[in-house]
Amino acid sequence: MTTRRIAELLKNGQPEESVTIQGWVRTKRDLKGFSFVEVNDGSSLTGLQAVVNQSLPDYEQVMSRINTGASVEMSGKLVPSQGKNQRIELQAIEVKVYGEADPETYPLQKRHSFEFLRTIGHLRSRTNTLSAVFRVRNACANAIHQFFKSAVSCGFTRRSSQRTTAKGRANCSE
Amino acid sequence: MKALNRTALAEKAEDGEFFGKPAFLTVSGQLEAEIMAMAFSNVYTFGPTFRAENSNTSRHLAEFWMVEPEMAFCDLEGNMDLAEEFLKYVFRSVLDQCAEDMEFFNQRIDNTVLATAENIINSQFERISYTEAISLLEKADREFEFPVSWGLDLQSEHERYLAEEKFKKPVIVTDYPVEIKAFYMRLNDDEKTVRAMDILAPNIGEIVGGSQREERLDVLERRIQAQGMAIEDLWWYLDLRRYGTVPHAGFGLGFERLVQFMTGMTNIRDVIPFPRTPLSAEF
Repeated sequence: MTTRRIAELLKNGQPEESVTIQGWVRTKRDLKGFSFVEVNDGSSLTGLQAVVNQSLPDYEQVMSRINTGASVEMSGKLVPSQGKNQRIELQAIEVKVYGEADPETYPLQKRHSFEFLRTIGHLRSRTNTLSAVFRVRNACANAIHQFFKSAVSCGFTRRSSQRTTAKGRANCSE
Repeated sequence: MKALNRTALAEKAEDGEFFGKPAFLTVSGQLEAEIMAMAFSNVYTFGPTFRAENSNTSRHLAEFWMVEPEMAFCDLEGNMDLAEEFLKYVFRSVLDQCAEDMEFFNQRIDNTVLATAENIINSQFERISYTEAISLLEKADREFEFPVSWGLDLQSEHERYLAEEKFKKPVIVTDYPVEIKAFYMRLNDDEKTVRAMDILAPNIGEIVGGSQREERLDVLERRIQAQGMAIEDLWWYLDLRRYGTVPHAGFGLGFERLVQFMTGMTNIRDVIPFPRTPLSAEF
């Protein structure tokens, strides 16, 4: 089965019989008989809410491995959500944990300052703000190439800028 | 910057052995873009550039990306038209494609970002000369921290006054004094000003800088010498004027500044995945 991007599922907002998603757990809430797990795959600010029912084989054991930051794959049925915050949610039928994230040491458990996040440059892209920034950055870069491709008045030929330049230029930084 | 894997090539390049002469990191792709424009008519470059100034501010990076189109058979008017069309296109497409993210920035980071983007998309940019700008600033009904006088560069408070208070939309200021602009900008007939342009936007300040380039060999040689630079070092740049010269123009835009303006992020280190700044290159 092909994996679907969460942005696309949320945009469609339509129930589906069977979908698979992959991503990282943002939040988990254990309730009586089931858990809510929000999964984000970087495709959109909002993640997909998955409902994992205790009828799942190895429910206890699987849920103990799912914490904020864990990487997962979930398959199931996309259904209209009872909650106010989303139109659809995933009723998980299969849950696979790729990698756990130890809640004792994983730093992204609460809000942090941007200054602190700079010290964990390898993880900060998993936060709401930084992931939004990098999606905008990407859209911006694409738009730039697209513009010059389509610029009406002139056919633009792209040239990648060269990193090194010999001495003798007007401005050089060593 | 120390790379994790120092290759033999990197070491040789440092010794000046690899290229046969000392090599440096580029601060702009413009002069090379001019070479390519003289063969392909219209080109652009979009890639990393480097500044080793020791500026530890929220608006400076040692490595940042620049967008630099260069057009042959193009004057300053054509350059301004393209830059205006370009900004509108990029802001429009980001609003379309990242609506949810932009809404998030407007709510959580800076509640002016959507209005700023709409203003850029929907306004016809005002175009005034530097001389007109100075006269407007002199007449302004307010005090400025920095002096306003013909010949001095515009400070950000001046730029913001023009864009935010006077015109309330993006303003393109053209024809700056020759003394405060680069040697390659085309000299006007008055010999006092050059065909430069800066685009100033509300809540942003300067977002684009460009010019029509000096295409006349004799004038360019004179300008290079006046700056105390060696003609010999720029022999290839001068050859472009010696063989098949044409009026040409282009502009530059700092990509991270653009992303910063779009998102309202305060610190430029938060709009590039792995910021290079003085004493920082961990990731």
